[in-house]
Amino acid sequence: MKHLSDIEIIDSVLQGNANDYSLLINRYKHKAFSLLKRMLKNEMDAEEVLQDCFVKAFFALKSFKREAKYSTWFYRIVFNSAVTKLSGKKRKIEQEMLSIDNEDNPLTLSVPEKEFSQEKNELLNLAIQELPENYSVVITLFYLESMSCEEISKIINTSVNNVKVLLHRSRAALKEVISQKHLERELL
Amino acid sequence: MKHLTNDELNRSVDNELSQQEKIVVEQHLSECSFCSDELKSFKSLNSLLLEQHEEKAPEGIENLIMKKIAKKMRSDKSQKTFFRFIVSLFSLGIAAIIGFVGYRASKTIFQVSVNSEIAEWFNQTSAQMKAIISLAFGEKTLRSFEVTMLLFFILSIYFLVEKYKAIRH
Repeated sequence: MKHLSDIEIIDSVLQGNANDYSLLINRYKHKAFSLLKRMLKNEMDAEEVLQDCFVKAFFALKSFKREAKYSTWFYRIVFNSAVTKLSGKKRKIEQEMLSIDNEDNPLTLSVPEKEFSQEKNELLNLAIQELPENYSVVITLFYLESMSCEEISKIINTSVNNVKVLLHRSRAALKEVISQKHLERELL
Repeated sequence: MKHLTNDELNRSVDNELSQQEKIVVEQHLSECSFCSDELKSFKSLNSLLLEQHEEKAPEGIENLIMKKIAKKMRSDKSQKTFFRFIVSLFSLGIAAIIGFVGYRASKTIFQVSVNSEIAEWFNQTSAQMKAIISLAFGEKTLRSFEVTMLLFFILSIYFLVEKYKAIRH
């Protein structure tokens, strides 16, 4: 079967073959899901936002200017949606904390212990999820999506130099998390 | 001894150091085991990150997304149709009012300018039509007939314009 490029699929969808959009979904679902899970640190939220992103991208296909790659354009939607979801979640947590304070309850938060897995990949994912969102985004886009600093700068709307700085800082932070969790022997 | 910064170590991993910086860093690494170890762990972290696998999206998510898209398309279409219906009704009402006022005004103008050939034809035709309709259906029906004809005229113009727009689109 012929491998269609992103642009060929988009053209086909815009010509009325809406079902061809599933080809684009299959092409990007895993990578976009990885990014969302690392940003949102929650599988259910990641799944919900992933669905919304693909729906949003479908109805915005007409406005996609072919100056940039489809992947860059799509990841920008994914990134912005995750940021919106995160700000909503933060607001909700703040409200919940406020209501707890008002009830004058002693605050005892129990952090569930994370399931230990022998697989390096899962350990690494857990470590990445400990990073602040902007670090995990840069790490994921650079390593998992193999994007250049220039492409990442377009997605997160910052300068190329800033992306490089973020990349260096996120690697240092990840190393710190790995050492805090005593995972050097397993991972490094 | 001053150790290498994280930035220097990272840039070393990415091969972003200038020739001069490279010499200084290499010199330091040969003397400092702490920084050598640090660089080693940054390098292994880099390889680890390059080897990582993507996470699998939930099974059947594409079907869920396609269903959501189909649902949204249907709801958008029905909303559009409803909106067009409301706009059509509104414009028809406005057009009918303007048309009727224009029609009455033109009648008055034609009656005043008796010399005009068109006015004569208009008045004659109008009088003949009036006579036929009032004979057949009575005086009251005549007024309703005038209004109905006017509305049909406006309606046909409206549909013609809409059809033209649709063809152009």
